[in-house]
Amino acid sequence: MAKKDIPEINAGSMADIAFLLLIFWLVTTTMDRDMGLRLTLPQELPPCEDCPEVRDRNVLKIAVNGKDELQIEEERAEIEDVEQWVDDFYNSDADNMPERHLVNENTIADTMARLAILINETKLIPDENLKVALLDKYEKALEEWEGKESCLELTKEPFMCISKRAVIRYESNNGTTFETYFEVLDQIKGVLKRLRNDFSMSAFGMTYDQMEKLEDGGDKSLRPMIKAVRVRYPLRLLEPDARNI
Amino acid sequence: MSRIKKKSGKGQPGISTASLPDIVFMLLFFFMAVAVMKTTDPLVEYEKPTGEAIYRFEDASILANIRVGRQIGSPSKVSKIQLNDAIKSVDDIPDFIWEKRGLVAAVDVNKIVAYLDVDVDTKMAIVNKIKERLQSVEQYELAYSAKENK
Repeated sequence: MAKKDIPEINAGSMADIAFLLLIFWLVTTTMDRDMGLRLTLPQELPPCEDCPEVRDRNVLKIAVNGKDELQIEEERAEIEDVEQWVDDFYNSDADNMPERHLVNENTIADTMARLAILINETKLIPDENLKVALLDKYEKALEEWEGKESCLELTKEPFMCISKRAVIRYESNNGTTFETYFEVLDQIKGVLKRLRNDFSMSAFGMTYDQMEKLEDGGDKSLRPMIKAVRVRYPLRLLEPDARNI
Repeated sequence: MSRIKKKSGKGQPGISTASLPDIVFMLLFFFMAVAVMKTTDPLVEYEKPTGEAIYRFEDASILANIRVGRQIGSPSKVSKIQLNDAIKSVDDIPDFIWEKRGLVAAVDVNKIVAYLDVDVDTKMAIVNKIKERLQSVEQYELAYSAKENK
């Protein structure tokens, strides 16, 4: 039999098919990626019986009322002022700003030793409930100091660490408009983002945002660095339930 | 001289369209890569705020979208809540979150983020109620939809 050439398929309509697919895709999708300001809501806790005393200097009070007027530490303020206040909250040694303590090899060793003694003593307490509660507390403290230790190991530089009781208390009102609420929240988080990025850049040569992005992408090797940045500049934001004023 | 021959009487030669499908496919793949599927059409009107501490979500499937704003085509200025493709009340939010948890892959359940599209003129009262409801079903991760200011 004579071999016949297989006739070529006419690809002229291929472009039409591809165009059809393209147009379908254009119609069913949107280009704007989902972006937003992230926030973690607090968990509901049982009412605490012996609440720890909170020192006034450890709390930065920011409040917005129903007329969108802003007040910082009991004084009228503008949205632009938030940045300076939050920056001071993390970095200032002033009397009205949160307590900070030095973290270096000596303070870490001292605290770790003290905690170890406390834990050993607590284990001898006969009262079971008290024992568990105290052990829990000390173990949390130990964990916190271990975080500081690894931060110091990575940066090789003693630093001032903000007290764990320091919080930014951001109070809004049911009558506040979302725009104002959001702007203030964004200012607070924006300062923290800048501080974290600057620190991360100088210590690890990469911004915190980049590290988080890589971590989200499955790169687990950056975990210690991310933790170190969080130890250095922790997010301390507290939003009390909005009241009707 | 005689080597240069002039074609005459034939007009301009047609451009080959053989590579057109390739070009169009390239475009198609580009759009497939950068675009995300549209979920539902908005029933409420909202204008997003702009901010700087903005996070870009890579995976839209973990977002539980709650829209808050004025209802489109309604004269009422009261803020309404849209879940999926209907106007609902705040009390429907727990069910909505549970439904979302059933839809995502088991490993992603803890990654779900309540993604709030809130109109800038909305009063915080309704947003606070939503937050309360989210807390009641232990949905603590939340994001306010916003644009990045450049």
